[in-house]
Amino acid sequence: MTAIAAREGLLLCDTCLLLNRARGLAHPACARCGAHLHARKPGSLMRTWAFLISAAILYIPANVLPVIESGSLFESQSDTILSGVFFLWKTGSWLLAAIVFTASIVIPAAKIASLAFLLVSAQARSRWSPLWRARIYRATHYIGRWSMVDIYVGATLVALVQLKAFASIVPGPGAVYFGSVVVLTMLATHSFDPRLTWDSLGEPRGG
Amino acid sequence: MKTNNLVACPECDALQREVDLVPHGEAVCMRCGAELFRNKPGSLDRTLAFIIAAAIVFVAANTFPLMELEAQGMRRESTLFGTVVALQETGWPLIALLVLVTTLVVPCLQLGLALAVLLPLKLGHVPRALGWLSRALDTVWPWGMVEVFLLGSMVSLVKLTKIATVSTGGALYMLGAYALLISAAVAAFDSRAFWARVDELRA
Repeated sequence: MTAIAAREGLLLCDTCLLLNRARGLAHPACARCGAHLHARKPGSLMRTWAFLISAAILYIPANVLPVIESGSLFESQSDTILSGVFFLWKTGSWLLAAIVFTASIVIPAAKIASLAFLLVSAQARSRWSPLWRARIYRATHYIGRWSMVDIYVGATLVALVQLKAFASIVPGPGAVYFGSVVVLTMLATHSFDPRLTWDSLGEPRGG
Repeated sequence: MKTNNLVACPECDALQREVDLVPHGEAVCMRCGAELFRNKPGSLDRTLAFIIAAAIVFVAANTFPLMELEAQGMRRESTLFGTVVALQETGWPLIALLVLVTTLVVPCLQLGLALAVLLPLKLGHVPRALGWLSRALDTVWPWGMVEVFLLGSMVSLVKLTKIATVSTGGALYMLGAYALLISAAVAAFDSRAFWARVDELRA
């Protein structure tokens, strides 16, 4: 059976990866770099749920409200994330349409769903393939940041298209919600402690 | 139990014996497959070199325009900081703040903090607030998103070519170089060698 650091009274430092002996102190600190030591991230499940639920709620206005409003002398138009993807698709930029669709719509939704799954399975002390759950966590960790791409598309358009009365582009109300979703899902990912996935293994049943 | 030849996996907490690695060799957690450590020869020097190069390129990127647009006889240029200003002026301070933090503030902090820990170590002494600096670096690191900003700029360039004449500015290429150099620095960094060097200098 695998030996687990926490069960042997050893605490791994998150900063410098030194293994410290717990010594039963109330607030142990790393002998090498002084970081606070804890066997698992404190309040990980609660914090992750809080960020995740907020993200899931804001995901709705982020997709329904326009993220970009463009106007000229004669017409004005507002675009949601999805209609922006349609514009790219219609004008023949299929690859970019696919990238924006994946980064802005699929990844945030997939991130929310997979973190919820990781939380529920950790709380239920599930033993279902921890290896796959570890892979899911790593994927959400690496891919999450790319969701911010639509914010930057909007930002660079706004900076460039300010031609007074002729044409101008401003962000729409959805942009703030969308930015919040990306930030909140990243905070949720960082709050989750992947070691929780493995903690129900090697325990007596019902333990 | 002796702890000096043991390592714990940061992703699953499994204890395992530390192994010696050949140059460029990699140790992987036997339980969850996470990378435990890797032997990267010359890691500290190479990381420092990439960080210094990235800092130079990043400063340069902020002095050149990002993109240029021409329509109906009107011309407009944008810069990275100008993007933040434009967002603020159109009444979106939160989005302006998000762009400011992820593309300017955090990259500056990444470079500054990395230099503050790596340079003294190279010169043979351990910086006083090393623990604090390292934790600050770990905290800010995921929020630097220059490479995502670049992808966003490319998408908006493509969108604008349908309605106006647009061209790329020097800053776009320099930010591209910056993103490559920063990921090269991450790839070159060997945290185990870094902390071993700290132990060595303190001994």
